[in-house]
Amino acid sequence: MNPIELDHVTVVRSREQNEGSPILDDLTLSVGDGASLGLVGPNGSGKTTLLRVLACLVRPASGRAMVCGFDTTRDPIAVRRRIGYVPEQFGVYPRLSIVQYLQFFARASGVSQWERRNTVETMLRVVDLFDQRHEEAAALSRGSRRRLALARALLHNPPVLLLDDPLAGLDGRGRLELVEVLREVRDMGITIVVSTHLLADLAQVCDSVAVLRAGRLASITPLAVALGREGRGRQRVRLELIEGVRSTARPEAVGVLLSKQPGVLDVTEGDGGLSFVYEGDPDGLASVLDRLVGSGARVVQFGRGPEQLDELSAALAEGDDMPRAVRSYSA
Amino acid sequence: MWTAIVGKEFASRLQGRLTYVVLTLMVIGFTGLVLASFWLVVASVPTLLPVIGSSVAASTSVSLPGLVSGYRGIFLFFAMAFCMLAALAVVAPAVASAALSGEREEGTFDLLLSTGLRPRSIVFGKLVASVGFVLLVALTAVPGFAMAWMFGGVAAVDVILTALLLLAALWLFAAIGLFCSSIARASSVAALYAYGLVFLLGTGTLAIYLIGASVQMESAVRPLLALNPFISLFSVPDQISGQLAQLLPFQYRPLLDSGAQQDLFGLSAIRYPRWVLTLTLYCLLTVLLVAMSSVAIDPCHPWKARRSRRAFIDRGTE
Repeated sequence: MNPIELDHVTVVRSREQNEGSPILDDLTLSVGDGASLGLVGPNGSGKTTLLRVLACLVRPASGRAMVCGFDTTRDPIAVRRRIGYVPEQFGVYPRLSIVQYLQFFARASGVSQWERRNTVETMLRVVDLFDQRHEEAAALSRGSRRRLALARALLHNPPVLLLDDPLAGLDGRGRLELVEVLREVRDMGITIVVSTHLLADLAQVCDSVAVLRAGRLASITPLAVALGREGRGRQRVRLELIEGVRSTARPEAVGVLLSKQPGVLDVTEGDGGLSFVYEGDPDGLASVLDRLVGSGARVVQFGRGPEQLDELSAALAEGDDMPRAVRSYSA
Repeated sequence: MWTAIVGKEFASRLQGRLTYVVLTLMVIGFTGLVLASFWLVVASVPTLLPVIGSSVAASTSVSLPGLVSGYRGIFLFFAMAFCMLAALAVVAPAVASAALSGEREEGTFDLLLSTGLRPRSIVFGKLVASVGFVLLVALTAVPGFAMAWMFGGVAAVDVILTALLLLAALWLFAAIGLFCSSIARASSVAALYAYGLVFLLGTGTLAIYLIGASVQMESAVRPLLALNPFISLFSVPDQISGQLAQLLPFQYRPLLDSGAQQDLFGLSAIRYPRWVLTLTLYCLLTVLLVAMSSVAIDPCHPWKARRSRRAFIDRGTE
């Protein structure tokens, strides 16, 4: 049995928030052992609610959610003992030091007295907070708080980790540090479900991506396929020419040439270069590059950049597959 | 597992300056209270004893100064107990009403629930921590009680009963605060609800009794007095409560008359002192409030399924 199974789960809004309308609508999903699933979707698509259902913090109106073989509504305590949950917004107790904070949660999570000290120390080292362990938890920076929350969630060695937008509000360094820790966690074999708006950062952590729209599962795809690294996936490719698009012998010629290539779906101009959506295998993409170079275009960059991943997540979330651009060409 | 909550609460509370400020204020307050009570009970009431050889016979009618004069130690002790009860009614709901809603406000409530602690363990841990903290504050009054007890006249059993009643009231006040905290999102709202309920317990029951007694329904409303902690405290020193009742108009005498035998809703065959009923009711109410709080904070409780299912079915039939 998969560690996470959702079977036709529906969650409806409470009285305060337009009672009766669904937040999750007949959602069926499963996540395999040791897999890491990224949830993307626009605000209000149900990502947080899905995680809260799995953490037994929201009771579905219908359907069944199972975590490690336990029903979230019938045996919530057994489920909670098998998950680590990091919400998007969370606080820390004022006046408790970092080590006191973790010791409390270790005790509350059932870590035995004999293991508690070692476990807390190990987790502090994993998230790189050991040297700050006697500082007040409330005084930590946002990035350090996220790492502390991750340490807290992992104290009882749960087989499933639920992360709600863990990179929200972090600066570049904070993101890199947290992603590094998450990669370590993934390598421990823990099943991870993470909601995000920044697929680019979490691409190193997730191995598949589920798209939610209006509480429904729009698609679930291996990340490599979604990014076109394998199979006939779609990907947005960016190219830069040595002297800019406008200085070529025939203005817009490269854009027009591109738009006529097989598999090229949408060509746009912006940020001093061109980008296009390509559907097909890597060999076909290499042929497109050959034809461009053969036509005399002086290409200095050709491929995906990190921003493409964000465009992809935005496109997946919005469902239009067409990121905005300054100008578009048509075949 | 609930001990984890207690440990955390104490670690958190005792590391702040506020605790020491409150403890210091309580010590100062109760010292002042002891002195004021001493002055009121001892210094301001003249000794009324028949003098041998006097032509004036000792009066047989009951008067308040006469009672105070005759039972100084008891009056001093119970004055302290009443003040302590009033202090508990103020402090306990305030402390407990921040216990769960404070977690919501700080954004730690979901983390607490996701630890795998049972909701009832969380509630019980919070209740024990609140009671423990208030007890710590209340301990500052022990020297005052000791001074009052040294005046003599207070039976050991009365001391034990008073302590039991105060403890039962403390648990109930804290449970009320905790229940309000479990249903309110903000600590200030929870405190408001809790004070409202405690006020109802302390004065509402008395008001209903007085109205009932004045319209010839005294026996019907008399059991309500068992809910009133102040009135129940009167029933402990039964050697003076009966005499104090003589000072009241006839229809209101059961208020203090503790020969204080209570008949439960007119069942005259069942008779016991009022404090027995109070202790029993307070224990039951505390357990009930803890259970209700546990349901209130449990997002997956089966009772909560009904509403969401109903909303789901309504949506399906639209």
